[in-house]
Amino acid sequence: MKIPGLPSNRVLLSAAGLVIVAGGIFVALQVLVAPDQPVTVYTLPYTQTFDEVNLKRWFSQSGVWTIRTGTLMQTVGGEEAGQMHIPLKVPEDVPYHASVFITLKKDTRQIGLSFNAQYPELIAKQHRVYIDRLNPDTLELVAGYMDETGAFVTQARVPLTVNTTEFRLDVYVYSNSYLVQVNGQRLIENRPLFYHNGMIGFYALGSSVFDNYKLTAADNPNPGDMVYTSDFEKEPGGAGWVPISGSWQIASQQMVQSDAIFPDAAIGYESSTFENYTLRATFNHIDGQGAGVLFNMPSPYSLNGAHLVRYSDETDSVIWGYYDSKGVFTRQGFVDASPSGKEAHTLQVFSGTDSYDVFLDENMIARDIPLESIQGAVGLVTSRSSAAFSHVEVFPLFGSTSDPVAALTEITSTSTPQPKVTTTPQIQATQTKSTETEPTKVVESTPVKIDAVSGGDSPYHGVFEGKLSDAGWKIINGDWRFANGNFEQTKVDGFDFAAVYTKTAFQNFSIQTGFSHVEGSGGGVLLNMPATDRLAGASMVRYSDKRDNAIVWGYFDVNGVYKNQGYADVPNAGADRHTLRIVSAEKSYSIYLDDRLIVQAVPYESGYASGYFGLVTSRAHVIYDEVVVDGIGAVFKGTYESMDGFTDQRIVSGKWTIENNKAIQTVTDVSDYVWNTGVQASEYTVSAKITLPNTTDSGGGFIIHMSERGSKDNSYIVRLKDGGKGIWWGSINAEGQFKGQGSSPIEGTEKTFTLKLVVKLDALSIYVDDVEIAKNVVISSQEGWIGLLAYGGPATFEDVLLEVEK
Amino acid sequence: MKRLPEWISVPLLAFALSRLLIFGAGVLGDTMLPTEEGHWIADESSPFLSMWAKWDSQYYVDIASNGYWFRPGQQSNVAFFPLYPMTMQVLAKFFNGNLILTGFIVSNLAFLGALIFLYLLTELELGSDSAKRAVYYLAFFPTSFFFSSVYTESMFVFLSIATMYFARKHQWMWAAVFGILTAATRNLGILMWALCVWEWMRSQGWVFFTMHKKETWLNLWNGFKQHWFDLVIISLIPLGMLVFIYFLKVNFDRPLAFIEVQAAWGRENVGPIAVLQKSIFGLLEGEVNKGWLTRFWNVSFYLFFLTLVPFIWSKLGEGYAVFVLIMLFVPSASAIGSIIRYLLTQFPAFMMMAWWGRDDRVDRAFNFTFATLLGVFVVVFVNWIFVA
Repeated sequence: MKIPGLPSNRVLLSAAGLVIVAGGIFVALQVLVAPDQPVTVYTLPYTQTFDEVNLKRWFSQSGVWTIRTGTLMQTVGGEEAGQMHIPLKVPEDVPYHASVFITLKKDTRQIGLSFNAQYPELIAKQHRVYIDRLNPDTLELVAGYMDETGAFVTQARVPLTVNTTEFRLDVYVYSNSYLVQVNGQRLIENRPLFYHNGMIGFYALGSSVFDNYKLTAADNPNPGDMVYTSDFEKEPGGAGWVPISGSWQIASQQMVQSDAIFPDAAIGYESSTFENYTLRATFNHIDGQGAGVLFNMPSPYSLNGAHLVRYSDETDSVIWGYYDSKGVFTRQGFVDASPSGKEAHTLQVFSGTDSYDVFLDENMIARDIPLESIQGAVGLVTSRSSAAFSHVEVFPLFGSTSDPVAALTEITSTSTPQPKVTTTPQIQATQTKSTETEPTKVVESTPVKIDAVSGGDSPYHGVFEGKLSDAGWKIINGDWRFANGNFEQTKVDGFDFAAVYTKTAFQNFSIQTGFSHVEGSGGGVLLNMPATDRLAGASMVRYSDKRDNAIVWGYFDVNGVYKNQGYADVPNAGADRHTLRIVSAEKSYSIYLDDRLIVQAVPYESGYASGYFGLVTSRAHVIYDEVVVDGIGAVFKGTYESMDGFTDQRIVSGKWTIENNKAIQTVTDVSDYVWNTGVQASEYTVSAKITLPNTTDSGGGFIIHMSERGSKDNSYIVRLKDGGKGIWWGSINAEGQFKGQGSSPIEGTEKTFTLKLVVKLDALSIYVDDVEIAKNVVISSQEGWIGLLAYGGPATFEDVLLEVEK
Repeated sequence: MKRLPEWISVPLLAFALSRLLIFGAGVLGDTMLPTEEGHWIADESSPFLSMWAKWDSQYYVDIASNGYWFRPGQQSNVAFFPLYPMTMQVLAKFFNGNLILTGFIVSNLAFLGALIFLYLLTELELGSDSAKRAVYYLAFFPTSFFFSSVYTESMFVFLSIATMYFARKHQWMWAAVFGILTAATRNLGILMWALCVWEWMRSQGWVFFTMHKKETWLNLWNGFKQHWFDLVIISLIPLGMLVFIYFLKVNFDRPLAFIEVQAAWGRENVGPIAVLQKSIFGLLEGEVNKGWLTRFWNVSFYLFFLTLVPFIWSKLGEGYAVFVLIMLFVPSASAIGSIIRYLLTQFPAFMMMAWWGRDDRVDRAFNFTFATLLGVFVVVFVNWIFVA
C-alpha cells in the first residue's frame, strides 16, 4: 500500500535497506573487531624475554622504544623520561616479585621500573624504583611514588657502591609495603605503598636496555624470612655442617678448609633443603685459589647432582657448572676474574625456578644459567686451596611454587651417612636447632580468662620499684629484677626469657619500651598473650639474638613453638638505648623502632588480637627503663627536631619539598596548603621559623587537632596572614569553612617569623617571635594530627620543633 | 564458443598480464636480492605470500586477528578503517584461517572488480577504446602491485568506481550501497557522497558553467521536489564512516581516534603546498640516494596528476576534477612519501590518461614507462625497501 505523500514503497524499502546495511556493518564491527580489554591480568609466573612482542599494544609515554637482539631498548636522550607499560595488571591483592636486568648506556641518566601504576593514569599514579646516575661516578637507588600534585615523592635514596653498568633490579611488593634489591642486595625495604595493584612498566631517562623481565607471585606475604644464617662465630659453631671431604674446622670464628691439595673439598649443610632462594657466602683464600659454594645438592653428604660456583683453581676465573649423578663435573660457563688474593669476597647465587644467576662482590657475572636440579642442600667447597668462610646466608626468592621455600629435615643420629673420604672430620657437628624452632617449655596450667581493656581507657606506666609481684609482674623464665628504677634481665644463656604484666590485658593499644643491651642482642616485647604463665599464643617483637642489626617478629603457636613472620634490617643496636613501640589494632599491629616505622599491618597469625603484654630477652642481658601502654593513637613523649623525624608525614594539599631540613610549599595561588607531620598528640609545643613570600596576601602557620590525617576539615588553624601583617586563629568545621576566633596585628615589615604554639588538650597559647599573642585560647577538640599550613607560596618552614608530652 | 564480452575480457586479460609481470618480478627480486634481516615475515610457510604483506599489512592482520585497540599518542590500529580487515576475518574461515592468503585473494579479486567497473565507467564516459586503455594503465601503473598486496587499495578502488558507475547510471540505491562500503574502507571514501550528490545535481540539469543562471537553480529545485528521496538515499553514504565513528565512541570514547592517532606517525598537517615546496627543495638540495629517488618519483607523479586536473575538469566534469584534487591534497597535507600509492585511487586521472592515449605515441610512452617502473618497484617493494 502506498503511503500518501511519500515516495513509493520500493524507495522506502531501499532506504530502510541501506540503514540496515549500515547497522549490519556496526554489528559486524562489534562482533568481529571489537577491542579486548585494554588491560588484562597477568598469568603468573610471567617471563618476557623481548624476543617476540608487539610493542605497539603496550602503553608508551614518551621515549622511543624498540626491540633489538632480544632486549627492550629506549634509544633517545633528552630531558623527558620515557615510560613503557605492559598492558597487564597484577592480580588483585597478590604479593608479587618483579625482576629485570638493566644495562646503563653512556647517556643513561635514570633507569628502572614503575609498579602499581594505576590505569589509565599510569604516569600520574605510580610507584617507581630507579637507578639515578648523578654523575659518571655516582649512582643512587631511588624509590618513591607520584603524588596527587604530579610530583615525585622520594621515599628512599641509597647510594650504590658498585662500579658496573649491569644490574639486576628486584622489587618485592606486598600488601602495604615493598622492598628493593639491586644485584641481590637488599637496599630499600619496608617502604609504604600508596598505590595498590596496577601495572608495571619500564622507565628510562636516556638510552637504556632492559632484558629478562619476570613477574612471580610472592608466596610469603611478609618479606625476608631469614632461612639460614651461619653461626661460625658462636661457640660451638658450625651446627648442621657435615664435611664431605677435606679438612674442615671452625677456627677464628670462621669455617676453614685447610687442606690446600685436595680438589673440590666440600662440606654440606644438612639441616635444611632450599628452593627458590639466594645463597650468599663471604670468604677469603688462605692458600691458593678455588673457593666457592655448592647448591641444590640432592644430598648434603655428596657432590653428586650438586651445582657448583667457585674460583677456578687453574686460572684467574670463576667457573660454574654441576655434577651429574655419577659425580662427573660439567662446566656450564666461566668468566675471567682478577686473582682473588687474600681479601674477602662475596659470592652470591640466585637459584630460581629453572635458572640461576651468579654475583661476585655484588657484580653480576652470569645470569639465566639452566638449573639441572632446582632444589636441595647447600654447601661450601674449595679446590686445591685453603679458604676461610666467615658468613653464609640463605634467604628466599619468591616464586609461585607451592612447595615450601625451605623445609627443615628431621635429624636423627642414625641417618647421618659416613663421608665419602676417610679424612676424619674435625668439626663437632652438634644438632642445635635454630632459635625459631626451639620449642619453649610448655607449662601445664589453666589458661587465665582474658578480659581486655582498651589501652586508651587504662593506660599503664611502668614503675620499677619494690617487689615484682606487687608491681604486677610475673616471671615465666630468666633472671628478672628491678634495679635502679629499671627492669633488668641478666641471664644470657637461653632463649626467650619472659616476664609478663598480669594486672591488665589490653586490646587496641600502643606499647612503648625503652631499653638497652648490656650483652648480646635480643631485647623486645610480647603482646596479646592469652596466658600469663606461658608464651603459647603470644606475639613477639624483639631484636634478633643472632645479630643486633635485625628486628624479628612472629608468634608462638599453641605448643609454644615460635613461628617467624618477618624480619627487617635495622641499625646495630650496640649498647645504645632504643625505643620499641608496637601499635596493636583490631586486626594487625605495626612496629616502630626509635620512632621509625619498621613494618605495618602484621596480621595476628597467633589468633589473638588482645591479651597480656610482657618483656622478652633472648641470649641477652637487657635493661628496660621505660614501659608504657596507652591508646592506639597515642604518641609517646618525644621531641621531633628534624624533618626526617616525621617518618609518617603526608602531603594533604599543595606542592611541598623537604630539603636541607626545611619544608617549602611552592604553589603560589592563594589557598590553604597542608603538610601533615604524621604525629598526633594532645599536649605539645610546636614551633617553626616561617618565611613568607613577598606578597600581600600570603600566610603560614600550623594546623592542629586535625581529626583526619588527610583532610583539613574539623581542625584548628593558627596562621600568619596578609603577608605577615597579622595573625589569626580559628576552627575549620566539617564543611571546610573557617570560623575565626581571634586575630592580632603584627608590627613591622618582616617576612620571617618564629611562630610557637603551646597546646594542652583544648587550651592553646600563641607566640610570635617569643611575644605572647594569645593565652589559653579554648579550642573545640583535645587532640589530633599536627601539620604545617601555608597560604600561597613559596612559604618556607625551617627549624621545625615539635615536643610532645602526650 | 561465445566470446566473453569486452567489459569482462579486457579487464581479465589486463589483470592476468599485469599480475604475471608483478608476480614474476616479485619472485625474481625476492630470490636474487638479499633482504635485510629483522623484518616481519607475514607467512613463514609461504615466501610468496609474505612478499605481498608489508608495512601497513601488519595493521590489517592485527585488526583481523585481535580487533581494534587504541593507545592515546601512540600508533594504534584505529587509524585503519574496518571493511577490509573485517572481510579478511570473515573469509579466512574458507582458507584455513590464513589471513595473509585471504587478504591476498580478496585484494586480487577486488582488483579484478575494479578493472571491470573502470572499463564500464570509462566506456560510459569516453568510449570503449579509452576504456581499454584506462584498464591497462591502471593495471600496469608503477605501484599497481599494491592491488595484489594486503592493503586496502584494490577494495577501495573497486567500491569507489562501482559507486560512481551506478551514480552515472542513476541507480542511486546501488550507488549508495557501494558508497557506504567505500566510506567504510578508507577515510576519504566519504568523498563518494560528494561525487554522487554532484552527479545527482547534474542529472537534474545542473551545470557548473551555468551556475550564474537562475534557470539552472530553478531546474535543480524542481528536480529536488520530484526526486528528493534519491538525494536522501545518496546522503546515507556517510553512514559507512559514521558507523566506524560510532564504534570508536562506544569502545574507546574517542569517536575521532582515527584522526587523533595520525600524529603518532609524525604526520603534521602543514598543507599540501608547503609539503610540495619542501619536497621539491629537498630534491634540489639532496644527495641522490634511496630516499631521494623515492621522493623524486613521488613528486614527479604528484605534479603530473596535478596537471591532469584542469583537463579532467574540462573533459569529464568538475566533480571528477574536484575529486582528484581532494584525493591529492588531503594525503599530501602532511607528507608526500606515499603519494604514488594514493594515486591508484584516482580513477578519473586514469580515464583522462586513457583519453590522451588516443595518440599512439602517448599510449606507448605510458605503457613503457608504467611497465618498466612497475617491474623495478616490485623488486624494491618485495625487499622491504619503502616505495609508498
